[in-house]
Amino acid sequence: MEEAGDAEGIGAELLARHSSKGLEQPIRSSPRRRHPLAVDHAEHANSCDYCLFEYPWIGGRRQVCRRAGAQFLARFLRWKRLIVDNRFAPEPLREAPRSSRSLLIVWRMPLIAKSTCKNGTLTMLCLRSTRCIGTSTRSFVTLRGTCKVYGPHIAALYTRLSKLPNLTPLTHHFLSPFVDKIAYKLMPGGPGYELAYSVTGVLEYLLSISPISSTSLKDPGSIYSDPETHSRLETTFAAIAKHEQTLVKRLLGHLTSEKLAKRGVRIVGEETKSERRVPTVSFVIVKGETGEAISGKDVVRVFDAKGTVSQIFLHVHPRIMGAPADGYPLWPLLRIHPGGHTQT
Amino acid sequence: MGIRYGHCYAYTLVDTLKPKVDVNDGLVRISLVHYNTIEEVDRLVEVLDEALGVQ
Repeated sequence: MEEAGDAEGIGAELLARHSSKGLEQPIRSSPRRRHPLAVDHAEHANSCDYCLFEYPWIGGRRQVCRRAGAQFLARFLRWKRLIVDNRFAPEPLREAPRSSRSLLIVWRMPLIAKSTCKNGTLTMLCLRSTRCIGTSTRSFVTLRGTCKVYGPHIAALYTRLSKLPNLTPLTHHFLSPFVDKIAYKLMPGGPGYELAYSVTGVLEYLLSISPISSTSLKDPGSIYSDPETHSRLETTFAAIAKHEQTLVKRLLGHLTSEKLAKRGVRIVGEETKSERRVPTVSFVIVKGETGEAISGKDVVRVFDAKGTVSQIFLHVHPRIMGAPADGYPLWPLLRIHPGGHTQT
Repeated sequence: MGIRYGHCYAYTLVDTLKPKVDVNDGLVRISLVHYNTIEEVDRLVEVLDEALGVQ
């Protein structure tokens, strides 16, 4: 782990760079009063094994994060003139591949984190480590990952009204002068009306699978005013988590069995079930004792022939440049049979 | 249930896996969700064994 001193040095260099260019809003070098929700990253990293792995350069009041696939973050930060290049990164980062951008995240830059898990390893990110809603709120950063969506792919970003004036608008640049003090600044785009209305069914669905029965479902309008709604939602998500752990235990148990291990199956990510493990499992099939390596395409093809599950022969995410190797990009990419009933 | 393959946009992660795998082929990813049943997982496992030739 890099010492805090290195990160401080990098921050000082960045500060000097900023002031020499006469930027309008130089990064503050002195910490402001801490927000109650702010996290002491250095302290937290010392008590969180995952953070030590994920953010090995945390230290001091500034942190350097290396995130594979964080091009969006890099672009955003460059746009905000906060990006630094590899010259300012500590030694391990300088040697890192160009594709894994090195980022200097200034202490108290707010990271708006959503529930997400790492693509590939499918482990929930430690949100505490990415949440630093500070008082010098000036920018937004969202972290890309794999999200579990129960319902339409739509989301709303909101914050306290008192925080809005200090936030950098996410809207079109020409709107900025007009939206400085209103919530419009948090709307990078507008959702389709049909999609937005469909969200009204999500709460009803979640309550319908709650272990706690209620009569309020007979009158859907009352669920918003029912004082028990919140507690029933908690039981819903607890039940979902418990059931998903059962599913992932069964799947992981098989994938990590001696038989499949000899075959060459290797899990990418955590091999044991845990609260952070979502019921989506990645693996590869390499040359094993009992067989040769198998491509992912060939594995999925068998499922396609059986019609057991939804399957897509394409890249998991559309390529940005060029055509996919095996077809055209699809969106949404994960198709699930209605109600989860599979055809066999 | 869903199954698919690719680098899942975790390109660097897949590219640095050891032993080395073809990045474009990437990982196999099986996705379950709360409305799946344990019986469905059992069926999925059967097909997976068939795909791997370890029945």
